[in-house]
Amino acid sequence: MDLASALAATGSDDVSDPSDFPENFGDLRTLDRTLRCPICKDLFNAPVLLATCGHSFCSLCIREALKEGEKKECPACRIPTQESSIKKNIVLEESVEAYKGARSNVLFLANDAVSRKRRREESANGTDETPRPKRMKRQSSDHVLQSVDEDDERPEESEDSEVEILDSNALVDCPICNHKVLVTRINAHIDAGCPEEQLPSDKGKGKVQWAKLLAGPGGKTGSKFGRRGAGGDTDRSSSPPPRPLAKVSYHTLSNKQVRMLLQTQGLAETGDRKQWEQRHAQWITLYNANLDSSKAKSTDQLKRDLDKWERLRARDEKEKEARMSRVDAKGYEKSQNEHFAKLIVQARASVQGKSNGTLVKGEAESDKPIEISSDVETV
Amino acid sequence: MSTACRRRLIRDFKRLSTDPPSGVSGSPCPDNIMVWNAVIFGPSDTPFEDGTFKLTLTFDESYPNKPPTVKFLSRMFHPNVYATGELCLDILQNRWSPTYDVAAILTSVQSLLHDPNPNSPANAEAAQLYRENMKEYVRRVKTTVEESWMDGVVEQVK
Repeated sequence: MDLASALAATGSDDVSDPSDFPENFGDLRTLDRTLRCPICKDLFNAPVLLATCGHSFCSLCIREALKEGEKKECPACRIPTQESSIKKNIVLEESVEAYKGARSNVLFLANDAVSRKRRREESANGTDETPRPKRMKRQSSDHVLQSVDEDDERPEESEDSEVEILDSNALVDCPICNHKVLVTRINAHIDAGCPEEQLPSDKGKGKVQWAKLLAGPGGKTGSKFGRRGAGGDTDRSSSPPPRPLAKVSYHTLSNKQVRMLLQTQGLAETGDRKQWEQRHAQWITLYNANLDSSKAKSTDQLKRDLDKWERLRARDEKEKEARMSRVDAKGYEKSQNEHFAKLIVQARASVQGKSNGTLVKGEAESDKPIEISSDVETV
Repeated sequence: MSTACRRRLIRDFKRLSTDPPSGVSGSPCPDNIMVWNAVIFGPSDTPFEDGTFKLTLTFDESYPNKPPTVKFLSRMFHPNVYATGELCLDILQNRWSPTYDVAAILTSVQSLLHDPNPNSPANAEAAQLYRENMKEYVRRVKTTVEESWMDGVVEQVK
């Protein structure tokens, strides 16, 4: 586990994982896993589903998988599919966005419950002399959260509740001028010497609430207002959504035509014909995947993504050549001796860990964390 | 800047170290996350039992859309392993899926030791012995098992 955290620390982004949740919160681990793309194993980014089988992926992940893969099939179930079967999964995107917001809180609460449980056990250990094995048993049970809720949480919660969490639109009485002030404004209001505050007008508020109510059932009312409120129709008044770019079969085109394709998309014309085609094809993939996201990137950002992709490919090619020249397997094996010795210990631990309890697992974990160089971050 | 491929490899590593499948282990080389070393224990109830076989996995930026190159460093006597250590395993070739991770690859290689496929031989002699002379096959495999320990012992003494 130390290894993993050492690694995660070196990544520039936070590499989250279901195993971030404590072991006895299996249901949270499962929830976390189900909201992840089976390809990149990250929380879904612009999720889409395949109409041919119903499996969901990040839009970019599945588009790249279908482009790079040998067969056009669902990576999860191998049912044949094609790009035209990719459909936006709006509910999943909303769920994941909501979960992303809640995840750190949930994680904090779960870890907090575990540490409180541990603290309570430590303090119990100090006062009475209950034999240790009994407590160990309790810790390993699945009812940790429940038991914490029942006896520990309540008294502490009442302490915490001094800080009331108010809705950001709530009004409070200013202790100085006694006027109603928005809770989010109260500090600034007092600092400024109690100027008159602009309160959200009740009339407007009412309208918003009516709109919410009418939008809620989604056209069930059938009335003029109801339809106007229902989200989908509002799109019609604004500009039509951009259309996905069509794929191109380059082999039928002349060099000039391929260059024209690049020009119309505003892409670079450097490199040879093969690079042009790859650049254009990847641009289509990036562009179309971006359309499936509710937080679409700007064209400039997409072009930077394309540049990065090309640089990585070029570097890959170079490294491949370098590897070709290094074929001394035995020499390599020798140089990696220490590493392999460690791996053998770990593999042995995993076998024994499965057959006789979890004791051995600790041994493997006590190994020194392997340091991963900053190479992880460079491109 | 971390890339999709590298982030995925870090996740694979996390999964492998928090929930290791039985009898396999692997981790990236300290100086390059794109090259991993791995060890597979020969599965019990097979001639490979107790062997500690070493492998390398080499990834490039197309992972997980393309499989890594997987090679045995230890000498193997197996119908589906070439003399160079390269494997003939469908999920590392035409049956690859980008949903696979390192844990899945290592367990698949482990089960290949368990169930060789003599119909797509990479080592003709091993395939023939496997079909026609099991006793000799087992004997030849056992010598590689002993060699796999020797590698470790000799090197550790040095």
